[in-house]
Amino acid sequence: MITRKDVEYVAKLARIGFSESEIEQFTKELSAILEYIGKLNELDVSKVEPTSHVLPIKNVYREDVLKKSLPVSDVMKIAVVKDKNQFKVPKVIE
Amino acid sequence: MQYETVIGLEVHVHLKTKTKAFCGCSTEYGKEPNSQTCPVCLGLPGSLPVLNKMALELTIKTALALNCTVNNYLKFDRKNYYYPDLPKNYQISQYDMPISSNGFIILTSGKKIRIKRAHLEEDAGKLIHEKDSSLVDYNRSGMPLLEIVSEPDINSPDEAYEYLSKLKLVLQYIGISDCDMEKGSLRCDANISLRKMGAKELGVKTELKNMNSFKAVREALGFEIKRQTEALNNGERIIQDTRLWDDQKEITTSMRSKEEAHDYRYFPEPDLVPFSIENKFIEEIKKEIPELPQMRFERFVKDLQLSEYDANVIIQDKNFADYFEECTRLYKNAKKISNWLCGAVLSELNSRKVDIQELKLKPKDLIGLIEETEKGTVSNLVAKEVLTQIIDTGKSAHAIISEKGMAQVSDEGALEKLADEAIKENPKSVESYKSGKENAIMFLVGQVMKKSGGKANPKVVGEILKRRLI
Amino acid sequence: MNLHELTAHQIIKDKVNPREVRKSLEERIASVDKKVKAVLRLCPDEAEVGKGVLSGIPIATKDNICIKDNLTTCASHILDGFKPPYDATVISKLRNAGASLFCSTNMDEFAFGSSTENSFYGPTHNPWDTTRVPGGSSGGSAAAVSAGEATMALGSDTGGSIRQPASFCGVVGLKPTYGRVSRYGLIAFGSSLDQIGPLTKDVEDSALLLNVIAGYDPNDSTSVDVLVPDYTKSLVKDVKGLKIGIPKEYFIEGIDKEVKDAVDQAINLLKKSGADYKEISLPHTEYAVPTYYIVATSEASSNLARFDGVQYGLRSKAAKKEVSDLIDMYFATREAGFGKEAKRRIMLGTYALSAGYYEAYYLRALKVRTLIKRDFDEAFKSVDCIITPTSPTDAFKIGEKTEDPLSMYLSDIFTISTNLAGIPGISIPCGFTKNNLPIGLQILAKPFAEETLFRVAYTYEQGTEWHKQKPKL
Repeated sequence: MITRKDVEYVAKLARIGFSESEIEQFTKELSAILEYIGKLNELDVSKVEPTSHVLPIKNVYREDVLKKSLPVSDVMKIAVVKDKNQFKVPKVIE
Repeated sequence: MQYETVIGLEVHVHLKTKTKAFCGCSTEYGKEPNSQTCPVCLGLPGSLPVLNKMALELTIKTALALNCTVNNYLKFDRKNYYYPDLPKNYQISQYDMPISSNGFIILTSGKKIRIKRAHLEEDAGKLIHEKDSSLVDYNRSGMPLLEIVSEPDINSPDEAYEYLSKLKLVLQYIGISDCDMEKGSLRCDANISLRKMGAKELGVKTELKNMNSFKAVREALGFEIKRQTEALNNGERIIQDTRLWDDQKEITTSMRSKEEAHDYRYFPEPDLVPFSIENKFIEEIKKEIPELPQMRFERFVKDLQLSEYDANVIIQDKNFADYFEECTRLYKNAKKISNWLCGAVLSELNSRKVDIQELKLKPKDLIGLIEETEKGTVSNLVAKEVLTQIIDTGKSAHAIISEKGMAQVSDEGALEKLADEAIKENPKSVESYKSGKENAIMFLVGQVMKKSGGKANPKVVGEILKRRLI
Repeated sequence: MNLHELTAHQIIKDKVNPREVRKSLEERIASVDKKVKAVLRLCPDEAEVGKGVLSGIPIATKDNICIKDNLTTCASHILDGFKPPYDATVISKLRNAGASLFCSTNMDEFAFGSSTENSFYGPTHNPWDTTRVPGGSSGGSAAAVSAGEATMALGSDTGGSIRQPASFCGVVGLKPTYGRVSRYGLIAFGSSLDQIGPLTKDVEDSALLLNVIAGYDPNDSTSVDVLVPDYTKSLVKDVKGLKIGIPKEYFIEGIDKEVKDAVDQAINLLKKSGADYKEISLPHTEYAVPTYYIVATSEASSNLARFDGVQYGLRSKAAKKEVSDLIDMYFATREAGFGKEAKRRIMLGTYALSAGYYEAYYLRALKVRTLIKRDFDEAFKSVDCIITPTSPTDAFKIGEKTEDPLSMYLSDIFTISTNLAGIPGISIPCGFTKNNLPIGLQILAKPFAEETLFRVAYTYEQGTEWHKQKPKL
């Protein structure tokens, strides 16, 4: 069972702002979804290996060979706020 | 109350690859901001990582040099956290299946510091803080970073310092990184806690960051021991937090982070497939590992009869030690070479602030000079002057000696004349010598040397004087 | 026949001037897209017609495939104004084949949905009945092809997002084997599940387009270096001796009788053509949806973390200061930038990966995924392909399921296992319900056996007229 506190914690982890009423609603919805997902507990998977990659591919590398970087002007074109060819953000406080 | 200090170190080192860990952008330092970026290292939507094989090879090489077990199966995981220098807001790292584990470094005292794991991950970009804003440069983003985590086996700031020095030396010997802390290619964080002497359980630890040299690590740890000891003695509790070392004020301060406890939500990186590392591949890399500093030290002491002190000085820099070895191939008296290298040559290096590779004095030049002293062409004193001139001009010892007329005078006729002058001018010394004070002759030798401008062969002068004063 | 109704192979065979086709499509969009709302924006017309196998053929692309210097937004507010500085691999391949990038199509935001209602730009309507959904998440691509607004289109399929809208809109939709088509430049939803594939008017066009986009890509570690055959060679009317498996778990409660009957008839047609038929079992079918919603949302929660206002897209300022300007920016940007379903899935995925829950949810789901994959491995030991309905129902009404996320998730019940198992699947038209809404037949095969799909689909298509029906708009 997911609680309101869990939802607030997860919202913080996910960096999403929510209003009070949204938190309420998400708690309800996520509870229903998780209850349905609880169906997975019917299965005994103690002896089953997990599948994180569906195809049995291994060892995909690239050689240490230089490729052309993007021109700085192309990079800066995507920037919301920029200064001196860098992305500008509100001050990071350490 | 007596406390025991428990320290664990986490070292991050940039691998010397041409390109980044997961894309083909250059790893060169000091380039224009964001000029070495592409969709992958900018973390743009839709981009995908592909592992640089060299980064994997260098990691395995390091792991082997640090006595780690290289694991035959490895995978990458995502470590999720938000920070503006981390463009995807997750870092590709390794969680439960690192490339290697269970290594160690042995300190001079014989104490073993265990290495828990060494794994490969990607670096973040760089933040530049301005008055009201921060600027992000992603040139560093995606650089291959090796994380080396020690077990909490270190019990003093000095041990920490020695561990780091030994670690750095190994990394330099195998040539996987330039280990330049100023450039950020080597960084070190420390975990430190105190516990009552004899206690089994670990105390509450603090994490120290922002140390820009090994010296700073030692000082920060020293400060932290003092701070925690005082707190404990005052009955206070240590708060688990991250503290920044302030090099100017020489104190650590809490980051007072308002962030929730770390919940990195690691999970297997779906964009990279797993890797199985065959033993054959590991063996091939093993063959590329050169002799490591500890082995070299032992060989120098045992086979070349160097003193432990000299051997230790020589191995501290791989280039210096290679230079030494090159000299021993040209001249058999290793001890004499070591005297020259650790004495006159090292002081030249220090005063000129250069590396041995940059010197115009090549091994054959040094050996040439040593041979001139051996032959008696120049005295040791003059030889040092010749050394300086070789370094300045790049000419051979022989050329300098003959051009500048620095050859030692052993011609008895010329020296007898000077000896007679000295005897005449210093009757008192003559008197003492004759009355049995044998040391008095040294003064007379000195006088002759002076008259010859340092070029007289002191051995010959001594013999002449003795003959004259019988 | 109107030029906008032509298939690519007709345009090529009859040497129709592709410029004329493009013009006709533009006119068609001008006249019908106000009803369908499938097209988000047209791509700039290029001065020259490219050379290659798809020379000049206008192709619509789903709005989650990066086109250099072209708005690519995933139909999300958070990617406002984002113009990628690079082309997705499939886009480069299309350019190399001479295709003409024609328009970007609507989708559920970040491909989160089965109805194309979750778009920041508003819902797309089903061309067969504009009060109904076109399916999703590639609803824009499916509707555009169905409505004659594009000759062919690309979509992406994470849990059925190509096949289900193809079924709802009466077109052909193919999800290739995971690793068959490069994902480089596809804005990720569930990285271990996503595949790009064609949405076309018929099976031949599907093979033509797959020929161009398939293949190993050194920029995608998960793409596979398996030879790409000429798929048009599989367009043969011959299924003699082919073994078809019918999974009993797919024909149970919840499935529309009309859908079931249409699929049964399709199977009969194939039997008559010489195929063998066998009932099979995929025992873990009922666990596919819950497994999928853990795996896909967990990956999505991480994939979507990068949308934070730092670099590109939307950046919002918090109304009041809570923590610091920077951290407040994250919260405000993601609150304003993501729609409700995106938030729901990010929250679910974040929860499933968070400390203390990883094993109970994510790890368990990966293990069940193994069981689901094994079901298929087992089945393909005795059959060459598996036939099922694509969706249990025909297209539902707009708004019908928006307030009930779970019932929306269950509409993908027949398509989801395919992605979990990584196998290829195709949906082709196999009839109409009484409401005059298309029904889709799903054919599945083992990894890299797209040729089998084309062979069966082509044989069926050649024996029917369903694919020739056009919606009246």
